[in-house]
Amino acid sequence: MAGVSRETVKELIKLRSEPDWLAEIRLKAWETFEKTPLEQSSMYVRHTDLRSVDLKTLEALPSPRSSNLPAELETYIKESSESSLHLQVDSSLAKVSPAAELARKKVIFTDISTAIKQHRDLIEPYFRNRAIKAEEDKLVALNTALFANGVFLYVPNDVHLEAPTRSVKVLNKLGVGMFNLSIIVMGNGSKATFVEEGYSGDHQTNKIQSLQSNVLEIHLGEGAELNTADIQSFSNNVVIFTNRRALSGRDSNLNWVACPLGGQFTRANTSAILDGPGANAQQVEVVFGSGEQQFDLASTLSHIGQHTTGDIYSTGVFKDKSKGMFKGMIKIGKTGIGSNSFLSEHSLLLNPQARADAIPALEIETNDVKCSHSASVAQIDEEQIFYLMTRGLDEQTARSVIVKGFFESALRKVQLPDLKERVAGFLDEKWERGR
Amino acid sequence: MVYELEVKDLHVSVDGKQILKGVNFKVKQGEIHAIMGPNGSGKSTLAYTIMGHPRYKINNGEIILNGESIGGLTADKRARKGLFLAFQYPVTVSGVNLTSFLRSSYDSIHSPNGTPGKGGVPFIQFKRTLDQKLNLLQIDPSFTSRYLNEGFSGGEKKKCEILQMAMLEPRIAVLDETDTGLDIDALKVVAEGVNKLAGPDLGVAIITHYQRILRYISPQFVHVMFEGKIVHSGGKELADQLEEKGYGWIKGGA
Ligand SMILES: Nc1ncnc2c1ncn2[C@@H]1O[C@H](COP(=O)(O)OP(=O)(O)OP(=O)(O)O)[C@@H](O)[C@H]1O
Ligand SMILES: [Mg+2]
Repeated sequence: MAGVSRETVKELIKLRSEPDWLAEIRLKAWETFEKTPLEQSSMYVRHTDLRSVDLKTLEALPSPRSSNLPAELETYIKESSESSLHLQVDSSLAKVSPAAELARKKVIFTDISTAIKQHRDLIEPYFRNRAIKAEEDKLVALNTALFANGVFLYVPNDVHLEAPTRSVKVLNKLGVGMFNLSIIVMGNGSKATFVEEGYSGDHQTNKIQSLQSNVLEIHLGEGAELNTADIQSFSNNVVIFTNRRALSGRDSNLNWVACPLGGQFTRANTSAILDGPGANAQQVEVVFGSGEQQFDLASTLSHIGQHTTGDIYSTGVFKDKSKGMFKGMIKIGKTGIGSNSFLSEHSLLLNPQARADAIPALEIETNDVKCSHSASVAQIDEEQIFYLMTRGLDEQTARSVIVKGFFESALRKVQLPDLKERVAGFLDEKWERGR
Repeated sequence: MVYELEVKDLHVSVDGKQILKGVNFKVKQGEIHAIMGPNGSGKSTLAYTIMGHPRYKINNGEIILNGESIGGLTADKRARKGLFLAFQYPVTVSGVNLTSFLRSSYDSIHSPNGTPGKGGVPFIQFKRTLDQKLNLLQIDPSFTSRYLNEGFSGGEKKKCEILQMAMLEPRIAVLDETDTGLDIDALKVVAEGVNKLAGPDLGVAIITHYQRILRYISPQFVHVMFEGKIVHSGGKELADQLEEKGYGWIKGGA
């Protein structure tokens, strides 16, 4: 059945034989979706807001026959027996393969539907008391009503996972509505890596839009450590709405990396709520826009606990007619005494028609904190080009060296070397591809 | 063949302002020249123009390398013909690893077909040369894992320029105030570096307005620039005269 309506929600509930408590949550979220007005943003012009995605034709329900993985993508996905993989093609789950160490360590890594069936006691509280409320955001309400896939990762106290866990999303068909909800629960003193990757089959030129809606909620126990990344190179007929939030416990550590490269329009809201004293969060965002792509990216650090620390590094390179907006926000509440926060938003424009805006915001309600920010939007410096050319590099190579150096300035903040290399690889590839 | 760079009646303007007003100058492989002159006399303008900075417009005159007029070539092509400029103010390029930058630079100059990045000189050979030059210039190898001029002190920037010169093995090098901003120890290191690189294959033009570097590097020719022209040329004794009397006595013109 095509289209998205209250009926679709009911259909999904039936299809998955979901329990009443969840059915209730979904239907209530649908109501919220319907009555919430569209968010206002200066970027939401024609073709980029939800109105441009045709909710009447979008195919949101998982199809009974799972579609196949496009052959050209197999090389990217590089399955390895060491890392745990959640793979979905369009709205259908293709496979979940937990690494061997998971069972031994009593770690749960499964798709969200299975988790609801098999681990109700563990997961229900996180649905009853969501990290991101449906009322906050129309798109989160829609996601709650319609999520059909996603990962549930549960790492017990003091368990350290060696290899990364991955959630790979592939858009193969056209006009798909892919709704994902992932919940990560990190026990006290636990440690893990979670990487989300998005790919499209080869339909760059097709005008039929797909919608990718992604919600990620992270709960960090005391002293827990999570490295997480979201890298996507969907084709440019995809509209992407992402909400991520972490609730950080005492002395926990969160490093997240976002690298949106694809899509026609990406709106991502990322926030870390540093509740526990001594919690730390670092957000690295690296964007590379081309063509007519648009990125609306908001990152928030909310310092509630004492002596919490956080950094946001947003870096963007925009060529052709692409546009980017970085909305960085640091909030230090009355209780956030002794917090230390840093926000940086830097963009490089490669064409006169490219655009970037940095909108830093600081809301500080207590003294005795350290808080600073830096922001810039600039063209490539002609003096840099000349300098490199005097060393024998032709102009094009000189530009390329400068852009890669600019990316490197952000990437050097990425803590895991493997992850850094991965992200650098994606950026390189987009640079070489030239679009 | 002995390389020769010749600047002939060079008139140059930048952003519409006439700065060089007829400069004549010649340097051959194996020679060391000093170009001196007060602030604002046009020394850096001459250096930039020789190297092909796009903002510096040649209104009259020529730059000739071995009989070929190179005034229309871009900087990278001039570099591949054996010209080098050590910048008065080296430019920072954030996030660019010095080793990999030296590699692409080395490749673009030394690989036979001159296509940067492709094919090129085998890494082993490059690395051997790099280690050799680091040793020669007494630079700690860990230096090359830093980013290009990022967070470098004044002295480190100048050393980095000399390291690049050593790697690229130019035939004619212009060193624009490579001595300024250095303390006496750094100055010795840089001067020794230049001396080690100088020889029959390298022609050097050292731009400076201090006498002190000339205690370590001995030029055969000294030129004095004033208001966009070379107004005096002579041997080393000219530098001594400048030390004694300052630039005041030149003002009357040549
Ligand atoms: N972009 C520009 N627009 C206008 N005037 C310029 C520009 N660049 C340089 N000039 C002027 O040209 C003149 C020569 O400058 P140049 O840098 O060549 O002098 P210099 O001899 O190297 O001086 P210094 O010893 O201070 O390095 C100066 O008067 C300078 O102000
Ligand atoms: Mg100068």
